[in-house]
Amino acid sequence: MKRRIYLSLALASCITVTTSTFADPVSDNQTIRAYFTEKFPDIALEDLVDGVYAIDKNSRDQWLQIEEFPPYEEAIDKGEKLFTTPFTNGKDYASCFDNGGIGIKQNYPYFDTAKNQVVTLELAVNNCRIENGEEPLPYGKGAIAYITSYMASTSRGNLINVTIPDNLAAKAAYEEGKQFFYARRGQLNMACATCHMANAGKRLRADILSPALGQVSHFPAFRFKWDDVGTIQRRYAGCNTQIRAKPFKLQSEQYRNLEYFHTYMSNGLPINGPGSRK
Amino acid sequence: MMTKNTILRLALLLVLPVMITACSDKDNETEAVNNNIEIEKTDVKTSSQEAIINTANDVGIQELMQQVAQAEHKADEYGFVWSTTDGIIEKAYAEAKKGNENEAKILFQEAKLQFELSIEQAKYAEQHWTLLIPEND
Repeated sequence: MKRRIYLSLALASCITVTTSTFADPVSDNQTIRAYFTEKFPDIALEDLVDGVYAIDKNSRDQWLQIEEFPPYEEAIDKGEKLFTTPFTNGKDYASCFDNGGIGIKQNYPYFDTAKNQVVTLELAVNNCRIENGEEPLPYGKGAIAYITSYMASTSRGNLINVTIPDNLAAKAAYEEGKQFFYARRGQLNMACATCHMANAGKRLRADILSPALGQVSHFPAFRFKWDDVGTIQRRYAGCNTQIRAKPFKLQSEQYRNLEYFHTYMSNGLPINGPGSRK
Repeated sequence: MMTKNTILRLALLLVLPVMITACSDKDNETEAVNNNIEIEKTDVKTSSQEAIINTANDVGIQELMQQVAQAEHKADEYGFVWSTTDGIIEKAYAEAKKGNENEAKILFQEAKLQFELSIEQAKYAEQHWTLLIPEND
């Protein structure tokens, strides 16, 4: 009898440990939404997809003028051409994606339960190339950013819908992304959350810090600093460098997990990429 | 009794809070406060530089280079390496190549210290990363 009680207690503690190791992503989202609702009471959460342009009127006015002649249009055109050009084997990108790759950006990244890893849209594009006997494209900018800019443009207005399957590895990937987001790093000892949660909306020298919620919606983004479009992970590497942390390789497990957490956070917000940013 | 390395770490840990000002939005900080921070920064910087020089003198350059490589390997495993460290190592090798052993040793020591601090940072983050998560009231 005693043995049974001990076994039951041991089993119960194992279950407790397993469930408490991973936070509930739905509850995480509620917390983050409540946080930004309180922080920006006059701004609808959906409007945060415009980042600082939803917060600061002067910046918004300038941005709206820029958007009259969007600097990312050329990237969309180049992306469409690349996307529709067949591979050497005669197949094309459309053959690798649901719905021929049109209007699907809101479902990325997703967790591939067969490969046990987070798959971002850029990784999926390169996987498609490899499957069709083509060389993978370099990440961050150039052709891969053009292709995903085009794919994002076909997904505009679709609501971000990243799912976390009921799978330990998927939950661990989400949790690792979350830990990356909240952990201080670099010589300046800052986390993503330092700027984009606690100090969102405040000024950092001449710039206003954008809120984390909605950040992923407009990527790939045309940044004037880059003078071209770039992917979200290129921005991650830039942010890491700014806090004097050595950036990880683009599409590393760390950045893919971060993108998973970061995008899940914005579930329900509309895709409005590619966007233009300072 | 505190070893030189411990003193050195404490001195550099003192520098960190001064560096964490990039997100500060306190436009109304008085000049007096700013001046005090500047004075503290200079004092800490001087003492930490002295500590680096003193510690660098304790070991040979070959041993120091080995220690740097080991610290780098460990820091890399934690994934918390600072972007500033590679440049210091490059400079150290350049000085060593020029035959400036003392300068090279000081730079290697600084790089080693940065790796060690990044490891400490990773360990701290592992324990305390949830501190920045907002609370749901």
